[in-house]
Amino acid sequence: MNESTSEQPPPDGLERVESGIPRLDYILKGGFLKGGTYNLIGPPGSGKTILGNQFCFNHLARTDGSCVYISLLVESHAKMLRHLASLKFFDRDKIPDRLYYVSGYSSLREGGPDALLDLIRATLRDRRATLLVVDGMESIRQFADGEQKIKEFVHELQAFTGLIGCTSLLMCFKDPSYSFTENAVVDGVVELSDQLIGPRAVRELVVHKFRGGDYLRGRHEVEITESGIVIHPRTEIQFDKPPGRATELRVRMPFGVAELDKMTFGGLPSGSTTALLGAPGTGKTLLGLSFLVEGAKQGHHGTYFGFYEPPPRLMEKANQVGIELEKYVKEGLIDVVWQPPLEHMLDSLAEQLLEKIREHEQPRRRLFFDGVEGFRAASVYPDRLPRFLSAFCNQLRASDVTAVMTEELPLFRPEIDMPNPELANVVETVVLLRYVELRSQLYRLLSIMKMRESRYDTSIREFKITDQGLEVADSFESAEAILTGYGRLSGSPSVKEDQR
Amino acid sequence: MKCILVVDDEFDLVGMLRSILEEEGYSTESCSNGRAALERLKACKPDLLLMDVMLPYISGLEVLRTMKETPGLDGVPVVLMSSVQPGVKQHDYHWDAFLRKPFGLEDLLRTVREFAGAPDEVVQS
Repeated sequence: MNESTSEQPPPDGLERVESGIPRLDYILKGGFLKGGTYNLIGPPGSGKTILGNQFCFNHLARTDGSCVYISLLVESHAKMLRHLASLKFFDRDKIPDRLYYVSGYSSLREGGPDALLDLIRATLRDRRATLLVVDGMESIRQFADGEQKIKEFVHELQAFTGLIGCTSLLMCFKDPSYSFTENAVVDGVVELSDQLIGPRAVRELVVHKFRGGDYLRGRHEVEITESGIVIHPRTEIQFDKPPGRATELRVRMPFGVAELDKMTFGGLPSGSTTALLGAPGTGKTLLGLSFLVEGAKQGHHGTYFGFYEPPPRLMEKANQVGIELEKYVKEGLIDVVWQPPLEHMLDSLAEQLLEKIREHEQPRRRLFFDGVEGFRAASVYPDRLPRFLSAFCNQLRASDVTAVMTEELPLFRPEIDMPNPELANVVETVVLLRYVELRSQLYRLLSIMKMRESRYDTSIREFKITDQGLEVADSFESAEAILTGYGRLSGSPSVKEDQR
Repeated sequence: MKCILVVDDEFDLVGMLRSILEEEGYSTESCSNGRAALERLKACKPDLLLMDVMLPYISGLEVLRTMKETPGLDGVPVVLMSSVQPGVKQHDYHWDAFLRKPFGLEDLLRTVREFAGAPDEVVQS
């Protein structure tokens, strides 16, 4: 897992403390403020304890600081450490010299919030702590005489931690009946949630408040892996301000299919996105692979990102029709990334894809994305898809990536009905592949439905998949004859070849 | 009656340890932080100190250092408890045994018996 790139310090000069949690610092636009106090709220199982510990261990790995982790009747430290030991960020050697675990519950029970405050202050000074985590803030409510006392507690604590430059994370069980008035006095509020949406269990993170800086708003998907907490920021909020239109010279990016490249007057405009629409078996995948291989022949890097066929099957399939995919994969000019058709996270998929693309910072890159349904299946909220696709495609344009995406149409319906109509608005080019039945034979047809910013041939052509590769008929007569049902069997080489 | 001082900031563990040891026939006292532990040690010397390492106010290791430098306290047997092995040289501090949390009941009782001795039998008159 790639670490997110560190943001530049904000111009106001406020010093930041990075959590080191993948993309959390990106969401906060630089990390937590040094000496700040933050509430972390969430139900059991949402990942609060992992996040708190991960922040501590990352802090120790990145700085010369030290951490204090105070528990209030949440989990015994021995048990917690045993659970954390399987996570990659865990480093037992840091305990207890630089990461000090203390239970404050005895003090709280015997002397109330004031005694706990005294214990925390003494421990922070003794350990010279630069990061404090308090786990189980809800216990203070039971001993505080009203909500005002809790606000006083937090206020006094934050006055002290600000003085010594210690950043604090106060973790609290999410209780719907509690109003969280202390959120008013802290520097930021981060909420983790864990809920069922349909059959899917979804963990999410929301930043509700962050003093002193902007942050990425809205819900962001959270994953707990062996690396710990990983956050996948919402794609459409990350890229909501795409850079101005590219000033690079536009060139044509051919498919490597002669007549199709003629129809497009040399190929797809560089930096554009194309949708390949068609029913299963119409040749979308092969056409996309041909696009990548043609780029590789010209020395341009390509990426295949798909949900359907695993790489070995893909190589075999391409080889059978004369597309030299395997050669360029071995040479490193084409990367093949396959996602098995299981449950995925939408923004995680986008991240993987964009990070894969960023590995090769060079112009005229090509992407073949097979198929858009994979994004839809990964989306917990289907109404996100239009904005997501728009932001995603904008990002590809900005990186001078020419993308071809497939979208599957129903197999048997005669009318053309896009499952994701918003895709047509997002992409610059739409190419349609379909079947036509004639005299107990199925023929493939290809046509360009739309090509923004460019002229194109609007004719409907016959499209064939042969042992020697992909072929598009050189005129519209053949397709016209097919459509009208007046196919001439004699004297028509294309039809004869197909009957072979 | 043999007396054991239990020092740990986790109140549930302290309660459990005291209960088990008292059932075994020892008398127990407890503290939840290092500062209180030193005060109790100076006031009344126990037969065994059963102590955590990570403690508020004064850490368990600091308590050991102070005990070593204090006549009368330097001879008290010490059993340390922690999830992690202390990363210090043992001869700079004095402890007799280490119980790695979470430890089992048998390990606890065997270790306590080894260093505190068997609980005094009540003499039937």
